[in-house]
Parts: sequence; C-alpha cells; structure tokens
Amino acid sequence: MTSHREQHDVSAFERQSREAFDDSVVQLDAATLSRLNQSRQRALAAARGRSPLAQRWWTWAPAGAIAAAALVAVLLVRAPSAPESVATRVTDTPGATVDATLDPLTVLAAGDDLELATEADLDFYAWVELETAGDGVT
Amino acid sequence: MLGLASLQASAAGQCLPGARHDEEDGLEAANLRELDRFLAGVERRAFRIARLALRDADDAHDVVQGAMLRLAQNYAGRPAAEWRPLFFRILYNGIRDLQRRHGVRRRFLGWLPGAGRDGDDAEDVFEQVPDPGPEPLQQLTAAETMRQLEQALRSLPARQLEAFSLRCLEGLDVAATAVAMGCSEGSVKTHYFRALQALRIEMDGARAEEQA
Repeated sequence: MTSHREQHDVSAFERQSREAFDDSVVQLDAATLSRLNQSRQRALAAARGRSPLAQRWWTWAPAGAIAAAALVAVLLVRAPSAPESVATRVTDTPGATVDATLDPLTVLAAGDDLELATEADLDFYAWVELETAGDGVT
Repeated sequence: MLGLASLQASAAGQCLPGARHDEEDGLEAANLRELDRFLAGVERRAFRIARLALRDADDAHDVVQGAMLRLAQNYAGRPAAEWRPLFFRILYNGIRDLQRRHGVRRRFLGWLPGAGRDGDDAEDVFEQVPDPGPEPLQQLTAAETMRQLEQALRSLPARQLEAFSLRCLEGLDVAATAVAMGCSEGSVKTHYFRALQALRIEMDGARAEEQA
C-alpha cells in the first residue's frame, strides 16, 4: 500500500524537498537517535508487558456469568422446596388432628394467636363453669 | 487495499475504545520484532516531521514517544501494513493537541515576561555536527534547501503542512494520507496541491531575495 518512494509523478520541487528531508533525517545527531531509541524500547516494553488475562477480560466475562448462573441453579435445585412444618411432623402420629398447614413460620407470623388468655377471658371461663355446674354438664 | 474504511473508523480517536479487542492475546516475539523494525524505520522521519510542525525538539520527542506507545499498546495486534497510516494519524493528533495546549498557554500567559519564548529559539539539531554522509558540498546544498523549506513550511496552514509532510516528505500515497489525516482523499489532494503552490512561491521568493 505505502512505499517509501511513491510511484506518483513527482515534480522537481517535490523530489528536491524529499531529498533535503531525507538528508536532514540522516544527519540527526546521536543524542536525538539515542532518545528515539529509548522511546522505542519503552513502547515495545509496554506492548510486551500487557497481561493477556487483563487484555481478554471480555472473553472471560460470559464464562463468569455462565458459572454464576449454574451455581444459582444448583442452589435452587438442592434447596428444600418448603420448610418442614411442625404440623406435618405431628400428623405423622396416628389420631392427631392438628391443622396440617401449620408450620412454625405460620404460627410465628400469626401474632394474634400467640396471645395468652387475658384476665377477662379467665373470668369468662370461670362464669361458664359456674353456669354449667348446675346443669350437670361436665 | 487495506480496508481503509475500517481503518478510518478505528483511527477516529487517539486511543480508541475496544481497539485491543482485535488483538491476539499477548504479542508474539515475531510480532514484537516486526513492530520494533517498523518503529525503528519510522522514528527518525516522524521526529523530523513532528519537529517541522512543532518547531521544538523536546515537544517533537514527546509526541513521537506518545505515538509509539499508543501504537504499541493499542494497535500492535493489527496487520503491519496498517501501522504506518495509523502511526502518523496518532502522531498528528498528538501534534495538534500540543499546538492547542501551547495556544491556550500563550493566550493566558503571554503577558508574563519570558512566556513568549517558543521552540524557535531551541537549538537546531541540524546545525550540529553532521554524521558522515553525503559529500560536503552536496550536504551544504541539501541543508540549505532544508533550511529554506523549513522556513517556507512555517507559512503553511496546519492541514496543508500535514498533507505536504505525509505525502511528499514521508511518501504516503493519497489513501494512506487520507487515513492519517482523517479526511477524504479529495481533501488530501486539495491540501497538497495548495501546499505545493504556496511552498513554491515562498521558496522562489526566498531564493530571489538571497540572490539579490
């Protein structure tokens, strides 16, 4: 594509200019050449020192995403679908009539059910006992 | 050719995002040797071209070093045939950046004593003792021509100077020059033609003055 000496039609002026320029390039002093050489070595060191892993991070990104997805899938498959409920354990025993849907989480979530009987309730139960004692109800 | 359209697109900035994506992982020794050869072949001419544009040896060194680094870091994995126009495009981006910075500095600090000193006062490496090369008389003529040319180049607008440097002095063809300059081939031809005209007039005038 690009040759140093182009094949285009060069005029005398262009030829003369180029020759003068080439001569000036040849005459560069040693200090300049040394400095240019140092710059070149620095550039080559930079090209040499590139880390292939860092350079190709974009190829590792999909692999990382796939690995993460696989890990999540394994965790989901191996985890129990629902926590084992206390009620389920209780219903294993014959004759038990406990609500099978009850599990510790449900019980804890239903805060109202955990309230102990209040003093008013105790009075009510005492009254019921008195009222039914005469009726022969036990 | 080279896939100049892709080159145009990829070389649109100084350092292009994703430029490394095309590269192989790690540069092989052969590729590094090729890069070394390329840089060694181009560094002196690049320095002279940068110095013509910046008129300061230190600035020229900085720009050439930056271009080398950028090429090595971002484009070393690309085909070697693409390096030359890419390198000169990076080089001229650096030159323009530096000229812009100098312009801003001059604008804001120009009133300070001594701030007006520019690269024109820097020591000219071509006035130093030359290496053994051409015959003394021929060398004198070439040096004189170069001195006149440098003088004339200072009168050129930046884009014409770029076109002349890349096309005539560096010897890039029109397509590669267009890649390096980041413009169309038609623009390259226009800039180059105008540069040649202006330089001829300028140098003829200078010679006539010297003879008189």
